[in-house]
Amino acid sequence: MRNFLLKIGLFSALLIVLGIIFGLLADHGLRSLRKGEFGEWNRYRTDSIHSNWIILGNSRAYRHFSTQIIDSILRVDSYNLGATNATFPFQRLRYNYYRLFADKPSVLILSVDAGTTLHTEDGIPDRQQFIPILNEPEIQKGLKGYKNGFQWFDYYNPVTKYNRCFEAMKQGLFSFIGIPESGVERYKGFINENYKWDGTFEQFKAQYPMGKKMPVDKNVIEDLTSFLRQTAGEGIRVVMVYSPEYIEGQQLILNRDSIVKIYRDISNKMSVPFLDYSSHPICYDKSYFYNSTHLTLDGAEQFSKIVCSDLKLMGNEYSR
Amino acid sequence: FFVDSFVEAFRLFGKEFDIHTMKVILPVGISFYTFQALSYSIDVYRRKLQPATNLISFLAYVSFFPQLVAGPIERATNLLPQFYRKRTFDSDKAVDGMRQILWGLFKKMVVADTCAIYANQVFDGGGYQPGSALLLGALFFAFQIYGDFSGYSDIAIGTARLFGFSLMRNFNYPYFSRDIAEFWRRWHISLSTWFRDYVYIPMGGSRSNLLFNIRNTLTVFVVSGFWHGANWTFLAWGSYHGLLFLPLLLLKKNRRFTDVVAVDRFFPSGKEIFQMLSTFFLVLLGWIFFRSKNINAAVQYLNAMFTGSLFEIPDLFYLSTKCMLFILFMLTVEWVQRFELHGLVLQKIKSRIWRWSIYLFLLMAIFLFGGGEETFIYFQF
Repeated sequence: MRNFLLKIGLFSALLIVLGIIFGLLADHGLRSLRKGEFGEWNRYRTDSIHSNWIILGNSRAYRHFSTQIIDSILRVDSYNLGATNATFPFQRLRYNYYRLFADKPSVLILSVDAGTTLHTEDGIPDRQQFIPILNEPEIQKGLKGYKNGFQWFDYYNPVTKYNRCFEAMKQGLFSFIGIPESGVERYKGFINENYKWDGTFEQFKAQYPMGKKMPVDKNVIEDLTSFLRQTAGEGIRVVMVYSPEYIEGQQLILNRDSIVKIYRDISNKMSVPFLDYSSHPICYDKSYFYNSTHLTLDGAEQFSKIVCSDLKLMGNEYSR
Repeated sequence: FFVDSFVEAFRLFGKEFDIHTMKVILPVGISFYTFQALSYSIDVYRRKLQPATNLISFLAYVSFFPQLVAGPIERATNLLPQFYRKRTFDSDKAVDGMRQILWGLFKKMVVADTCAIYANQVFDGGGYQPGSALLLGALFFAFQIYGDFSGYSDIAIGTARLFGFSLMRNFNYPYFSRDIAEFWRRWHISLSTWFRDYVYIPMGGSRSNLLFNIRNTLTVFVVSGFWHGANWTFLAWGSYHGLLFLPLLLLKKNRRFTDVVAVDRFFPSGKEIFQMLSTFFLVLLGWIFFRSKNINAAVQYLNAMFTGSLFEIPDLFYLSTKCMLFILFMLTVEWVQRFELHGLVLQKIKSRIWRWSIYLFLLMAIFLFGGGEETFIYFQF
């Protein structure tokens, strides 16, 4: 029995040591990535970004609002904080983390939609992206309470947080040993790659032929309102923008009109401009979309020019 | 189930009944330990076993924690005497027990839980899916249920060995079977032998006339299906296997394959590959009934599967390459180890460095890929 327990003990010790080594190496590798979501979180920490214009939202933000075009037309320094699959609580977390390292912006464009902004998830979307920054108190606060969340012992040890996170471990180790990273590098947060129609709309239509009602969480509405109150208190000018969605997709969201009304009501209550492009001619041209909710690069460039000219019309505070 | 079926039958004739049934919460594992307790009662009645005089030993037998909730369904003649004997710690058995636990954890947490993600997507997805995706979905379910159940059995048996107990084998690489009869000698062995000894043989077994032989065989398979749950899909699954088994029994070909496949070589012959694949395909069709919500859904699934779209390459194929690699890895290990009691019998590997490397590899795989929200399927039985 003693020999057996000794062998178990030795093996366990070896396991823990190897786990710590791999975890530390992967952490180091992940914190040096420049592409994908890991890259974005790293940039906020390392790149001394002090943009005076911020775009915040989910993937529709980083696909629709071209920072290059906004910078050149409005002559500002913009940065796009759009995050994949992010509901508003996660968008706010992204913004809060960015603000740990950057000054407050003068203008914040808040990209809103019917699909993800106003609901909460049970779980953290793409939770692996938070692994290298789990030691930050702001991140720990933002991730509390989620079903697939991290535990207190994950925050400060390099091993357990990688549980079920093979992709993160792999990318971290590859980065550490110098294998070039795959993925898309963003230009100031904007993805300037072109995509073809991907067929996901047809799959959605087949699954929900009569349409679908999108969930709306009252707590998230309250969170959004409090965020607008906070930014107003800091003197940040916010513009809410509902960027184009392909018209056939719009028709399948059964409560779309009521969600847009929610944004309009918030806009009126908080005196925040709301630009709604739901009926813009772009929405009727499928060639500008690669699925029902995301514009192609051409579509994004067109839209960015349109929104810039609309912002210019709103006054000098929205351009230089 | 009976009340609902009764109401449904009368509804076909236009008669409605308003009957309220009590929703009873069943304790987990009831199907397993009930049969285990029955085994004791019947064996005592048949005088194969002396009645237990020690209450603690008897209660320990009925509620033995490694196999309480999902088997193997132990026989009183095998397990109960082990509680009376003095057990001493055996290092080699304990080490092998831990290896079996590790292999079981890999099958359950890596293979089964990953397969479950894709199987659920297909079976619960809704909307149009090509026949090839439906076939893949059934394939993933076949490995989900195997990984889940045989993995749990390995964990149970391995854990028992740590305490010096020997439990019966429950799975013997069933997907390497060459016909349905062999499949049923290798799948959920504790249940199929229980039904053989306590239902089939007392009914007369194969020693009666042809009609009774058919009756006895079909009864066992139908009751086996029913044991899994009060749903027509389980009955259909059991009956389907009964109908597949019956011709082999009647033609006396049910004991053709009693040895290990490719017993004297490493690779199977072309004929053996064909036999294994065709048996697996027949079993896979049965799993569609097992997994579906109801008979209608199962029939629709099969109809949709066997269309021209069966030959399209679905998106699911590319999305699930990791899962297929896990399945391939598991099958390869089990093929190499098909003569052994479990996939991680490593006595022949003398080098500790190699053995520990294998343990580390499997543990890393479990840590990085395993887990999720999946519970053991058979906990619901």
